[in-house]
Amino acid sequence: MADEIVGDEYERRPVPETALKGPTSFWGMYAGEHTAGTEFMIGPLFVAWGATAFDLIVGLLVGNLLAVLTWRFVTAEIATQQRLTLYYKLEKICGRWLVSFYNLANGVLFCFLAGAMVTVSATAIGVPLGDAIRMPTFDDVLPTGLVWISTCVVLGVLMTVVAIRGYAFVARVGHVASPWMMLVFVACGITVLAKLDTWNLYALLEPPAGTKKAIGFWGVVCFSWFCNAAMHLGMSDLSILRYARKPSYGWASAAGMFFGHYVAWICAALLLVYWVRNFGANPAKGVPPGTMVYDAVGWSGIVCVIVAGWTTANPTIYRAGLAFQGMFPSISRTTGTLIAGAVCTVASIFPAFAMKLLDFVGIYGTILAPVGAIIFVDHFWAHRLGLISDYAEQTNAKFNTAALLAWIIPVLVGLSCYQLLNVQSFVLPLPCWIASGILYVLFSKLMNRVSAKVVVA
Amino acid sequence: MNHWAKPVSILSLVMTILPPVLLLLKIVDENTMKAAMLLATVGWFAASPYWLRES
Repeated sequence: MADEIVGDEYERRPVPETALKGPTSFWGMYAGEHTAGTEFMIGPLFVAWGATAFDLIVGLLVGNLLAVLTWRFVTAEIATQQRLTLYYKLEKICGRWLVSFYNLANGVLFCFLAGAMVTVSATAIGVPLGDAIRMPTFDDVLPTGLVWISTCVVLGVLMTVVAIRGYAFVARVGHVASPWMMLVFVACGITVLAKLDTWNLYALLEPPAGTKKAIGFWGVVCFSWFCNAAMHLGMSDLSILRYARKPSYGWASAAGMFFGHYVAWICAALLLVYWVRNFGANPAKGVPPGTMVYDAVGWSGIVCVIVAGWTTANPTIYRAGLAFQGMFPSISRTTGTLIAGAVCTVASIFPAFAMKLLDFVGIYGTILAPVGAIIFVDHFWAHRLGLISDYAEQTNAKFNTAALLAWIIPVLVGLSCYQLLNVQSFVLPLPCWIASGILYVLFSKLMNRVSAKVVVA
Repeated sequence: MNHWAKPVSILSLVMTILPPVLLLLKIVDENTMKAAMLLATVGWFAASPYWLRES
């Protein structure tokens, strides 16, 4: 299904009845898409940040449930009523120029995310290289040496070439691999229980006394709710869920959340717990995912880390290429993908994106999610509040200044709070989203009044 | 459709998760578990594309 959705069908018109998909496509797609290489980073990062067993077991449950509810009652509702891509809906509201601006932000952030996935895969490639390569730790921001750089460049180039030539093949590999990958995650968790000779998962997840606590229950809730904020609150998944027959297909996101973002994260967290307890590893520095997974389940683990990183980095590079192409329509898709691949490869060399993934994912949601509030207001409230729905289309405007300000102001305030006040980035998407919706109503009332008369006339 | 593909795939999935459980129950050792999981990996990727593609 991913191929057809990413392809160029129905990009500028609603998806017709005949092209709608059944529920199984969505359950499979969400399960596969959210079991990625980066899950091997996120679980251990919670351990490094001193999350308790209650924070993880209950916090992740609540946060993921809230994410599923958001997909079901916000994204899927709008997607099945409009049946348009995010880009086209945004163009109808904000005009083509603002969509280009959004494409730039989206494309660059996609590249950094794909770079983090390449970094995770590189830690698996590095295992057979032994002492020849210095693997990065959570503390590392800059490249750790020439061998590390070479490994990332080779992987990045390979992934870019495949994204250009064989995207459909990679989508198939991802589809085929996802049930097996999920079981490898679970196998890692069970192996840790076996090696530490205990069945008490709760006791294992408790941090040792004196561990510095950088994240609590609500932090875990917010992270798991908003790590995909760009997709649900930000409406990026309109492009996928517009193919759903009914809004109830939004429940399919539960497959991704409760397999990929609950079971897989907890199993990945257990890997670092084992290294801390058995080898005295410093949780704040962490251990490279490839090393931990190889130690737990052997070569099948190495294959899992590479495949998990590869099958999710490739579509991400491909989508970033499409975003760049959308921004500069004169360039070919190949050129767009090449640019995306180059940026992704450079990003992968710097471990910062993978090792600071909790921060990065929060920033990603803070920047992109507020756009979804503009769509939310336009869809549910425009008529009730006397605003013009699909403002740019109705008034032939190329640029909706009210939408730009409503997006940019909360993002700048949010990023300033993160930078200057040390507010954790993953708590910011919701306040920014709400602020963006309120500001869009206010600015539309103030700035789009004259145009409203034009439309009425 | 290759009739062998689906049973081999299901067996491979079972062989991916069963060895760690047997390790937890102290029935197999770690090396046996890792070897069985590698075999299951090969089995899954060899067999599942045939029937997953068709379904």
